[in-house]
Amino acid sequence: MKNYFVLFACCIPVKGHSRSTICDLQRNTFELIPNILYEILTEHAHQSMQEIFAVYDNQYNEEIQEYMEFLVSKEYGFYSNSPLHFPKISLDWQTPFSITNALIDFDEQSTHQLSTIVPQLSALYCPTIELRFFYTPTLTALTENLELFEDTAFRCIQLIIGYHHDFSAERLVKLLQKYPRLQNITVHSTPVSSINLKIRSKGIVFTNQKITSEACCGNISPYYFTANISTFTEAQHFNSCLNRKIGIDKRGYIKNCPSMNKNFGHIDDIPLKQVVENVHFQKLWKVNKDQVLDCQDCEFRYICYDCRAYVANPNNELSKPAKCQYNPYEARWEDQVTT
Amino acid sequence: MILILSMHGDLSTDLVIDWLRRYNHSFLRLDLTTFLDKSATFSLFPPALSIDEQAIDIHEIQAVWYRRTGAFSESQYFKKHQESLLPQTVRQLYLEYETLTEGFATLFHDRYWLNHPQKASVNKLEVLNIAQQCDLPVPKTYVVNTQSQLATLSKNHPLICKSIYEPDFLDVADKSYMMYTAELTPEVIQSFPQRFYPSLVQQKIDKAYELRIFYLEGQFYPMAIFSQQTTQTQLDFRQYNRNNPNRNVPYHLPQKLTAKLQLLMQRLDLNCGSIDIIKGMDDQYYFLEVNPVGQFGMTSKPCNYDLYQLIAQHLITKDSLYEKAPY
Repeated sequence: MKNYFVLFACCIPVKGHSRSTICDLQRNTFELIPNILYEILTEHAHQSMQEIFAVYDNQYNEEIQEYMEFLVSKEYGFYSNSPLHFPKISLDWQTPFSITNALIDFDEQSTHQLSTIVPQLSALYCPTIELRFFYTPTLTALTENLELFEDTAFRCIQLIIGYHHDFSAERLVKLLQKYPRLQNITVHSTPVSSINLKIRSKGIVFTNQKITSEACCGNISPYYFTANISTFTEAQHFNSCLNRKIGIDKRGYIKNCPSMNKNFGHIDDIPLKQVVENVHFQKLWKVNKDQVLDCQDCEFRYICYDCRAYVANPNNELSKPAKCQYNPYEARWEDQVTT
Repeated sequence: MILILSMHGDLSTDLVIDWLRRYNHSFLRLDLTTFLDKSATFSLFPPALSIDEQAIDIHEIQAVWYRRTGAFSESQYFKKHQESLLPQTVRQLYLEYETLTEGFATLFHDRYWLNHPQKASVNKLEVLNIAQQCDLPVPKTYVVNTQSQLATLSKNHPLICKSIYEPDFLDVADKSYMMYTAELTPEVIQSFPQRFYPSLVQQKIDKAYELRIFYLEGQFYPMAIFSQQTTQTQLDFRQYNRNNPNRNVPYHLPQKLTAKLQLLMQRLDLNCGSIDIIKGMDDQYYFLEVNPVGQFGMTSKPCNYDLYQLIAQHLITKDSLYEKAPY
């Protein structure tokens, strides 16, 4: 029998107020565990099973053994005689980019031009951009917009557009094939219920949700939880939504995200580079979940997105996201009936 | 300026370049298929290089990263002419290109090289031999071409076979095929003809787990691969299980092993590469092979080593420090 239980380094325990999670950063999933197991897995990580039994006065040997068997069966960990061969994973997060993602909104009255925005962001080597149309643009307009990305530094374009019967799956697949950078197309306000299409590494989503204003954003739900190494490590140090994001709202104002009230000038008046380098613009990047009230006690805090635009208490910018229904103190989703 | 010799579309190169830009360090990315597909000239005396009629100031280049270069078969030239030329002619042109690739390196013979085209293709058998001399445990290794010899060997221990050269070789209709490591069970051996093509056969080691170690100038970045949890990956972890991927986690190498591996890399004159090792059920570390230009993204990401950043920093240091050659 091997003496030590070792968690795979990619399975990281996170303690909440009333329970904990093991976040599986390789398989993008998580497991809820009691806080006592968190304690065993962290404080007593380098102790043998026998030593752990002794810590709990040999009163709970069977229960502890059962926990470990469960974790082994779910492939969260394994037994070993040489636990020191298995160091923890570094939780550092680094990026070569000053801006990693941009979110640009348009409605029918918008006057800002993508042709002035794309070259500026490309010069900053921004890898990802989301273009969010609250209305239905014409296919010609879309194509013209996509052409602007040829020979730019962008690696990934995501498109959100209003429904039109012209936007058939076949036609959208052709768009995905024609533009290698185009990764995802979401068609909102469809008359039918939702359809998800996977085309190799790319995707098309038809949803009956009406994404007709920036207020559609900021939802917090297990549906949006992401457990991978890059988001988990970024969330240790930075804001899981706003870090290195730049937003341009439907009127052309430059913001941390289009839903924020505060703007840093209009795209027609100020270069994006100047905004990005502004320390006030960067302030929210550093607000990680450990600083946000309620979230700091939540077991989901490093796999959950944050929202600083819609907060529970508008007078406190560090209050929890307004659209979060989870109460970590009672380990309960508010819209859930208690049993 | 850093010269990067790489092929079109190599993601690892893109990710290192992201960091070079971040550090504001100048670089030139060059795919040697350029000599087949674009206007490109170089002169040996005096050293000079021009691409697309643009002169490159090669005296600015102090460090060269040989990542890998585009295959002859992927060049526009080959695609255009393969039908119209005799196979012997294609073969000759391929060798001309190969030799050009190696010869191009002499233009920078006195610069710092991270990997070198002349050392990029190691001989598996030679490497195993040198590893053995470095006191690294190595699985018993044979090259066999008759069924009777194979049957005799299999009485001593279970056997696997693998490629002598690199395993990837076949692309048909958008699919890639490779010579995976396979087990030679008595039934399989039975099914063989008496004579077959010379094949590399090794003693099968019962694995506790595998190690993939990225090596960069004296530093080791090891990853343990728990390939034994699903049968699909037990013999060859490259038979990836996408639904339930193998556990890949950082590893701490014992000092004794790193000393031997260090010696091996010195003997092979390699300053960078990916090393494959099996940790046996018997607690021994068995050396399998080293790949100087292997993919390291698979080690970098799961272990959060950020090897791209480390390589960029390393190249910048060498490019800035390497003594300027006298001209």
